[in-house]
Amino acid sequence: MFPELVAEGLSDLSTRTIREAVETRVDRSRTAGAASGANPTSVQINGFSVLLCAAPDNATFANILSADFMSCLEVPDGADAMDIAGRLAELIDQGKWFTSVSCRRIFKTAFVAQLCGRIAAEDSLGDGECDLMRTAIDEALSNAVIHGNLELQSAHTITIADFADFYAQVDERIAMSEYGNRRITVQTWRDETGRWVSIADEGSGYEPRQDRRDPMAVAHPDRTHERRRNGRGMEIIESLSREFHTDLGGRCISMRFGDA
Amino acid sequence: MEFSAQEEGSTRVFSFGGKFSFADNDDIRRVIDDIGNTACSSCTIDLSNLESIDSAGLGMLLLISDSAQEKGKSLDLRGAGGQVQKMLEISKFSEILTIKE
Repeated sequence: MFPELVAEGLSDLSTRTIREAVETRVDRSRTAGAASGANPTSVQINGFSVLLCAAPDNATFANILSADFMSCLEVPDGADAMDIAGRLAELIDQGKWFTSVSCRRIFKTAFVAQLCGRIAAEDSLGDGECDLMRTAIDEALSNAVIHGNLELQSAHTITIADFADFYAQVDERIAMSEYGNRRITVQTWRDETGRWVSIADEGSGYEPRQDRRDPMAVAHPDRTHERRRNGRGMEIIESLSREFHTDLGGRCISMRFGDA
Repeated sequence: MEFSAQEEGSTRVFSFGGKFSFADNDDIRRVIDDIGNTACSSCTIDLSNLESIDSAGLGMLLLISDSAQEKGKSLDLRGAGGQVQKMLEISKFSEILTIKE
């Protein structure tokens, strides 16, 4: 029994199941090395189906978002079993579908499109609604990866060369294990108000501006030629979701879609 | 994103297709170069085949517009629909650029 697994909603049996599943997964990765990525472990806990795998990719996401709607937790090779078990227990205890993977594994993949396709099927959304939801979630994920986990700030006024440089920085930083291994955790659930999607990162957080108006436009209303080329992500999220809020010091955004 | 360029009378028309996102900055550099080299005094970006655009794509549209302005060319957008049209509305692009149907 892991004494640190303090998840009040979980029974002793669930805790034992988590420990065994994680130990199996971690042992498998230790002995099989990179090949272990081909042998993910699935486990049933508290009514959840969870896939534990070393190297999630588009095929993994398609699999977990298929008929079974499995949750997913990345267990990197060499992971600490206690840390993984603790994360898994906490996520299961929250009772929401989740995917928790490193940002380098989820960035530039089809994950958001696949997730939205699954949500659209669950909630009977039309293509247009699904596209707009996908746009908001894409923006939130990009923010979480780039500004959250990778701790990169984009400049207010930039040229096309600066655009290229900035995204080269993104590629460079995401390849560094200290940044690229930081997790993104996506959860989704429905309540009486509608469909929620949350995205959490492991960056240092931020304070969202209370006044969402462009500060440059507010300060210089006459200088209309100075137009923002970036920083529109939060406006887009606000416009395309029914409501949203941030938590964990700005490291988590939760967006509501669907019912009014 | 895919793009192509052709002339319609005295207008250089750039047709964008697929999904427009931050990964397309190389293509946009080519568009900006083309605008600098064309003898046409007006340019249009046709968005009718564009499936989606993100916030980075919106920013790059502004870069193209600024570049056209610097070169003394006019630039407008046309044919936006669906998600693309919604994104232009959210960002109030009609206050910055000429947008045609």
